[in-house]
Amino acid sequence: MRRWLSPLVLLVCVSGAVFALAQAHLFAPAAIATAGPVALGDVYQGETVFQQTCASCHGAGGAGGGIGPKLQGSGVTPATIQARIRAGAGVMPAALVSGRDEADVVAYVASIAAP
Amino acid sequence: MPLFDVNSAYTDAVTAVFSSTIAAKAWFATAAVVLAVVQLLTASRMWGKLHRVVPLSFPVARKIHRWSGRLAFLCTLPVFFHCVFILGFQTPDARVAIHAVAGTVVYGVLAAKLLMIRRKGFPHWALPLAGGTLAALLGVLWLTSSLWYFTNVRFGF
Repeated sequence: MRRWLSPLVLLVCVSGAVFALAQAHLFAPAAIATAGPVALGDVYQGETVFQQTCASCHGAGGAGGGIGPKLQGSGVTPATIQARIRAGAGVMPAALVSGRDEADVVAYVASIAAP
Repeated sequence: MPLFDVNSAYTDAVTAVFSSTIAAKAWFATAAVVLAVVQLLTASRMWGKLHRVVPLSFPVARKIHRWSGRLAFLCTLPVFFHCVFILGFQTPDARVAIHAVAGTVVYGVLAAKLLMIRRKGFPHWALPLAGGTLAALLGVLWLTSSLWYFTNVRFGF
């Protein structure tokens, strides 16, 4: 049994270290790190919703090029993103996405908005 | 240099080639999984299986197995960096939770497998079990990230 100890200990230690690093979240985008009370959803799902709903105006990946402003590197905070989605802005209608989709899009836009 | 700049520098470097950091991860993970299949095939040959499917001599299969493993490991590094340091451990839904848990243990299994290669005295089934577990974990990680990305977001660079 003792021969199994080393690989098992190594497995637990390395996995624990990876988990600790993931929890530490060292290089989280500043916008997400200071999100405060704004609910953030799944960044991946947010990209899907964004490409389907928002990219026609804000460009693919929020790179701009449409009638909406460029979001990449804009520094916009999650609270502002959420407020714009809910209230609308310019030609953008209010509540274009809501609920879970809204939280996902806020997370995604926050991830690309870091300046 | 503030920690935030690391994120920006990484994003700039990756988006010079790919459309987004997530697209880059999807393709790096796909490369790692393809190499993991090569790993499985060459390992099977080294253990005396699949003679007809993999008509390689033992030394050639061993060399391909080692180099495909090294390349697969290198392919996982940018994925690891983005997942662990930028996105962090998240569990917003079942897919992401499964991905996070599998991603947390995959390097642990890799380390244990490498240790078992170096040390003697393990039963003959131990190494195939470790390698199979590693390949299965990579498969789960690919299914819950890259395949999801290609089928739900877009299939492209």
